[in-house]
Amino acid sequence: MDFINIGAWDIRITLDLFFGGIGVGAFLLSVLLSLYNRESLQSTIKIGAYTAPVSVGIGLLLLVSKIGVPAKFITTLWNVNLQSVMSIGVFLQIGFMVITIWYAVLIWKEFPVNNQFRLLQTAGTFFAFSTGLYHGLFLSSLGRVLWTELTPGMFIASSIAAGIAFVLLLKTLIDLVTKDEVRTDLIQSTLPLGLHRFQVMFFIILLVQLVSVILWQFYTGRLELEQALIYDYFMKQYGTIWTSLVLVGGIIIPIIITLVSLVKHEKNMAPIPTIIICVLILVGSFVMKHLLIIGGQIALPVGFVF
Amino acid sequence: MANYGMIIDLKNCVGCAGCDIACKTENNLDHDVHWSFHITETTGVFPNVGYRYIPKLCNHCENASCVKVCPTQAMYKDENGLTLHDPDKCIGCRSCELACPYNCISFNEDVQHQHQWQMDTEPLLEGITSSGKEIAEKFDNVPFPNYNPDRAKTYDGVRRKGIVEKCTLCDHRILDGKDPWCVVSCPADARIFGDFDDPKSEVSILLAENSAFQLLKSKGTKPKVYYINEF
Ligand code: SF4
Ligand code: SF4
Repeated sequence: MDFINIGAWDIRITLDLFFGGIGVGAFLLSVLLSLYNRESLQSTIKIGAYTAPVSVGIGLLLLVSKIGVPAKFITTLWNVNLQSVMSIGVFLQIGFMVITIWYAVLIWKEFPVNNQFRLLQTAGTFFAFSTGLYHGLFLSSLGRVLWTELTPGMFIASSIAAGIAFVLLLKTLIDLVTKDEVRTDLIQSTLPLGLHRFQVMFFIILLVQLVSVILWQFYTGRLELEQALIYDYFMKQYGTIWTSLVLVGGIIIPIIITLVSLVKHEKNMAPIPTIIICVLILVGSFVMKHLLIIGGQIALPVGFVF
Repeated sequence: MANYGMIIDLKNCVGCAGCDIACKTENNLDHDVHWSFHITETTGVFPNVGYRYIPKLCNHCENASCVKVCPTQAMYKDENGLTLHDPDKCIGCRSCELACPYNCISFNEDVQHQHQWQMDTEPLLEGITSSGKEIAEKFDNVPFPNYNPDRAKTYDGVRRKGIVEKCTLCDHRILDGKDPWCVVSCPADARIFGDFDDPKSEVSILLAENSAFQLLKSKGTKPKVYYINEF
């Protein structure tokens, strides 16, 4: 059977979703850490706060560059279609972008602790989750067979994990270069469930991602004939990369490393395993998003019309 | 206010692809853009073989997924049930192209009807033919020799770079009370155009009298191109 690749979207859409996702994760991490022990965690909070607008901005620029008439992107602000997830998403992304810039500027200038700042964090958290969900919802709203109802879950989990991984990678590398003590457990914080520890954060998020990816794999191949045929074709073409880089490399190995670290009651994860986990998560997140962008554009031969 | 659509009688259709060509000339389509096209399929094993020729075009779906996903309302339903496209609003995001289950939307990566041969200064046969450039200069304010200015009544005469385009069911002809050009051009009267809201229209009567099918009905788009007399 000669499958068709619609080929409407290229790697710039993947990069938009990837960088946008990192922005979501980085911002959420920064807010979460700022709730506790903000003095000792300042550098990580700052890296998260600065990463978010830059990353979301790069993603947005790539998205704009991909559309046919980039200069008209601004018209999406007044030609609104409430039925269109993308139309609503434009507002979410721009809103999130504005908040992350504002947040980064405040942290850079004075790092205030007042109600206004808390309000900004709360609004930012709402926009971060909405933007993270929007990425997957946008795809599933197009009704293509591989972009299912499970896509938003896969995307948001992957985004949060990638955002945390990016910030942690940057922090670890900076610490290594500046010869600071590398502390990945974020010192004596007191978040419930040990959430302040990167091992715990990763473990929980990656578990959610694992469940959503497995559910996606399980259900996508088993629904209608069209879905089953395209899923089979997708797996024949990209199954090896999917399994090795997304499932095993991007999720299962990091889960095992964090689990081992947790079982050993390690407070600090050594720099090398930290770097390995972060790189694996980032690669896994990028490959997952890219393969889904490619796979979602596969269509059955034109003759398949009934 | 009407609810326009089409019936394609597969018993009458001889598979000549005249509708595909007619559509291209009427709507000024460039060579790689197809608003009206067809699919063919051979089934079975000799001697029990079958052959299908199915003309395809935008179904002007009642529940059009392209309209739902368009972030700028560039893709819209008009008061006559046609699915139309506003080039001024289109940003070229191509969401509609991905959302249409029938592959009925084309994207213009380049300026339409501008080709390398129009720049060639060398004639094909020295002293006998003109060069591409000389021919292009004779276009006389039209983008290409057989340009149809009527198309520009309701849509860009030639669509712009960076946006999508699709079948309008010849809304510029409907405006003048005429049938779409593919319907008029069909030598076998296989295409019937009309108003499904009018119980006395030919399409309503044919739909009532025949068992019809729609393409990919399971997608829930409620296509308004029906096929009858499959054999
Ligand atoms: S066939 Fe495709 S382009 Fe035409 S109305 Fe239906 S969904 Fe839209
Ligand atoms: S390409 Fe144009 S018509 Fe299609 S969804 Fe995007 S803005 Fe709408």
